[in-house]
Amino acid sequence: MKRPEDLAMWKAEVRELAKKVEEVTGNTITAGSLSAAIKEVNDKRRALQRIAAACTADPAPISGKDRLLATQVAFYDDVPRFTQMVNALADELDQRVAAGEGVAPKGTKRILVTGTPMALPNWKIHDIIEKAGAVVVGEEMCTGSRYYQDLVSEDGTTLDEMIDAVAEKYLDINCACFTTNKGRIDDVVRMAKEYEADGVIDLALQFCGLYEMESHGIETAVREAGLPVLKITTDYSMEDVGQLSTRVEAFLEML
Amino acid sequence: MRVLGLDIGSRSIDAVWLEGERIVDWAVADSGYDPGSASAAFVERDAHDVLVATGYGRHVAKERFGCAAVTEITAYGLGAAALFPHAASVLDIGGQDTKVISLGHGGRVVDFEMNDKCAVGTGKFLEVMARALGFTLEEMAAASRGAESGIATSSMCTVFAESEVTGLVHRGEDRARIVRGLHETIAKRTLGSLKRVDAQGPLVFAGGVAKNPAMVDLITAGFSGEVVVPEEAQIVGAYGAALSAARE
Repeated sequence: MKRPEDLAMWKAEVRELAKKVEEVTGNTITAGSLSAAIKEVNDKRRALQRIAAACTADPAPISGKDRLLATQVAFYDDVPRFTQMVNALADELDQRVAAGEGVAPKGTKRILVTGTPMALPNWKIHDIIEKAGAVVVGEEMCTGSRYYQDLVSEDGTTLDEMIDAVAEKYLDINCACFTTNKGRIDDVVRMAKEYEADGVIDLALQFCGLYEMESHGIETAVREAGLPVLKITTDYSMEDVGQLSTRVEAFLEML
Repeated sequence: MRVLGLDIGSRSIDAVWLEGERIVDWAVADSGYDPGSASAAFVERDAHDVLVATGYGRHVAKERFGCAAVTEITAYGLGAAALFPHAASVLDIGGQDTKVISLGHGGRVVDFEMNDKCAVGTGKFLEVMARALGFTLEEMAAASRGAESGIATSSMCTVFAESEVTGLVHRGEDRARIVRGLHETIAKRTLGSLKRVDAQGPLVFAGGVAKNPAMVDLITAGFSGEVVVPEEAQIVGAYGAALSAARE
């Protein structure tokens, strides 16, 4: 939950983590070093936001699969290097948008994907959707908007304020692990509009009970907003690709 | 314009030839191990202006014959609505998939549900159970209709259910009551899917399993609205695929 007492407990946990990191690495976290780190990681998020913003354009300048891969790599890559490369990619996408160039023709069906994050190298659903002739324009996922849409406040001056800011940012994510998670439903509906999606695909990995539990609320809200929803529960295996392709293609034919 | 609709399914390949929107001929063949050649035999059999493929083999057909492809869901919607203009929903139980479709105006798909990778409750499941019990499909349906009550089985996985059926047989249970139980469980699951897409009557029950009178009885008894079964339930998908081109 995200009550004040939960935030207090979480801040204490983050302080424990900071201590542990110092212990393991032998480095000391100072106001200066943390301030620089916050700025550095925020820059990474800003770069990813630029890619996302470019995808509101029709035609979409990049495939969902490529954008997903960039987001997945964000979890592993050296931060400044990654930020530099993603900004270069965003520059290219801006040029493509300005020139009206797309990965698929203008008017191609646009899909927003929401649900369980897809860890590298899982791009099964994006692959199925895009092979079926649509383009994935956004991910409301932890390998998507939840990863980069919010920044850590850069206003802190003392180490304490900065650690608090880090804790606050991470408690603010609309992940399904939080109870009462209305914010996620709002995000999905807002993103569907912003990205001019024709439909939403709600994905749950098998045994990821949290996203399966939220699936009904997401479906209801998106339908109320006037968009169709396809619910998919799947796993990492390839044995259901035939049936999934039929479902996704039929969904696109329905739009 | 002459259109050939091909439904290349997991168990059978169904072909429908249309002149305008009128069916002039149709045929059914086993998919077997080489569905491509079986499809080619239909494609070469008769002259046609346009070919549309649906079913599992639609993508292969698209490449091989350079034709259009639609999903079974769209095809069944169109086919069912053409046969029964008042149809509000469709149930298609095929060889490997079960699909429930809620229809809008003119056979447009409004919502649908389809099984995942599991072949539970499909034609394949019934075939495996019939074989395990020494029935032909016709005998199994007749036995199920004749049984006074069903024996409930707990597992609906084709593999586990077969083991369970074997256990029941060795316990000396009446095989008619066993198949009755299997049919009842499939019907219950299917009715649950129909409810989830808010399917209204009249419901068109199509696909190969609609040729099983025991299944038709149970679906009719459990569904809230009217249930209609096309005379040739198996070719509705091929008919719908052909219609999708005829109407363009």
